[in-house]
Amino acid sequence: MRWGRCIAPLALLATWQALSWLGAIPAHKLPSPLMIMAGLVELIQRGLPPGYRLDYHLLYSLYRVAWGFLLAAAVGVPLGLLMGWSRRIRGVVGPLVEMVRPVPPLAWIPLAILWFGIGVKSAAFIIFLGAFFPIVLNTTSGVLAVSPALQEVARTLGAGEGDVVRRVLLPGALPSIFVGLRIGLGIGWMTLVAAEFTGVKSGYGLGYMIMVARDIQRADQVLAGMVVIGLTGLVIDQLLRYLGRRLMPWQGGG
Amino acid sequence: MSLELTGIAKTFAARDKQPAVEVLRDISLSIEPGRFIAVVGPSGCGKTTLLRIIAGLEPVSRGRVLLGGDEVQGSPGRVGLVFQDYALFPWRTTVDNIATGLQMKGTGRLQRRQEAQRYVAAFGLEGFEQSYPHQLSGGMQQRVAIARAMIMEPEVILMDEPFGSLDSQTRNALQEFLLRVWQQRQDTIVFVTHNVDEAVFLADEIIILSARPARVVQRVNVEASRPRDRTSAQCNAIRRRVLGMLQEQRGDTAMTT
Ligand SMILES: Nc1ncnc2c1ncn2[C@@H]1O[C@H](COP(=O)(O)OP(=O)(O)OP(=O)(O)O)[C@@H](O)[C@H]1O
Ligand SMILES: [Mg+2]
Repeated sequence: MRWGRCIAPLALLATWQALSWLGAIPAHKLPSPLMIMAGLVELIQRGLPPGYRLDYHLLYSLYRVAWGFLLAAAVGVPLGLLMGWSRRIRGVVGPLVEMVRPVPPLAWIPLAILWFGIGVKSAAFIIFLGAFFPIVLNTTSGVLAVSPALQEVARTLGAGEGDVVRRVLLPGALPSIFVGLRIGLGIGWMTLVAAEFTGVKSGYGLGYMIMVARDIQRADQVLAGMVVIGLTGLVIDQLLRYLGRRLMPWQGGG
Repeated sequence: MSLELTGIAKTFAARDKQPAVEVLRDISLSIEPGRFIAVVGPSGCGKTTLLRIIAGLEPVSRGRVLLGGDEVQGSPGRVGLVFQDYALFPWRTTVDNIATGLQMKGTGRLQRRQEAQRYVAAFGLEGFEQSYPHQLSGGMQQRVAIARAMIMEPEVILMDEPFGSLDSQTRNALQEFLLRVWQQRQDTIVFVTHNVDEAVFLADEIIILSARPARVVQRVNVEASRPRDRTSAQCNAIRRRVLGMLQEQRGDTAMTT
């Protein structure tokens, strides 16, 4: 069953490789899968620029994402809980959130650099902006979806406001909070790489690495970088899903 | 401690183009401790609203609700609630659902587990202590919900059509189960139902409400001795009487709407 899911991608790769061998796909435009593999090995062993190895690029990118994402979660989840809990807070904060949300995180890059300089702080800020909104919005809507009956039952069982928020709204909204975290982390990851393309760079970072590969016309390494970005995103998402299942054993399947 | 309702009236204020709704009009009732009271009335007449008022979840427009002489509003733990759709916490296991109120009260983990375990045994939930609500049948879920209310030893237990979404066999089994538990514990129960058979089988007294705005039309004592036979002549006679009065109430609404 599980192998069945691999058939289509493997067939695609095989066709691609075959067409490359036959010369139907020009290698300088789209290198073959095997060339990309070779490029990847070179990135791992030699690095790009030479000496700047792939694992460091990856670690730097992850480090920036971790900062931005954790910050977004630390602010977004409590704020979302408050917004779901109190109509008044929602009335005040909601319009603000809706105003800032449509601005693409990347449009903040100039300001971020002005405020924080080039480095982990401005990168974290951009990622924060990318991850924050899905986290807040999903947390809020998760709280709003908690059945009022549950809150009332809790009150008749002696729950105070604090208990209602902590013991009813928070666990009730948890599945939705996790959706927000997963979307937020996904967007944060994508935003990071784009940010490293455009401005927030400092010698290390997957986005930066890809730009270097482009400058020296190494399409194979550009693609290898893209593969690493995609796989890393997938692994992070799977980790969050796993964490979600562990934290929410009452969710059948998930 | 008795439950006293004096001159309860409730009107939901108009809002968003919805006109004001007068739901309850001058309801006075006195319910002695240990009694099993059923409340029946046309649908939409205000039965749920009445229970919510007794539970202190909804303010009254007029009148007072006294429980053993005190206002109920803002005195958690004294009134237990059981809903038709169980309203169990999906993220809590059977034991933790039952122990919720003890946790709110600050009872230690071990002690509340032990206490909850007693209810697990008495309510036929062994083997499902660590199950989540979605893993339980409807009848089991409702038993958990009843245990969760009863573990607090509330002075009144309010039940809003608690067996309304169960199949008829489970429903009968739970009716008998509830009676057994009630007879041992001597709870005061106010039980809203659409089902006159159920009211006659369970209750000491049936309160019949009018169509909206609800008033108390009649209080019928169910004299039949326990254990009751659902099909006895006595039960049938009471059933016929109550159904007749409900019919009249429906007739009234039909004419006014
Ligand atoms: N919060 C509210 N705001 C406005 N109107 C309400 C509110 N709650 C209930 N009502 C109205 O009050 C009336 C009585 O509702 P209630 O739920 O108490 O009736 P019920 O007898 O329990 O009905 P059912 O037989 O369907 O269970 C209904 O017309 C309902 O629309
Ligand atoms: Mg109702």
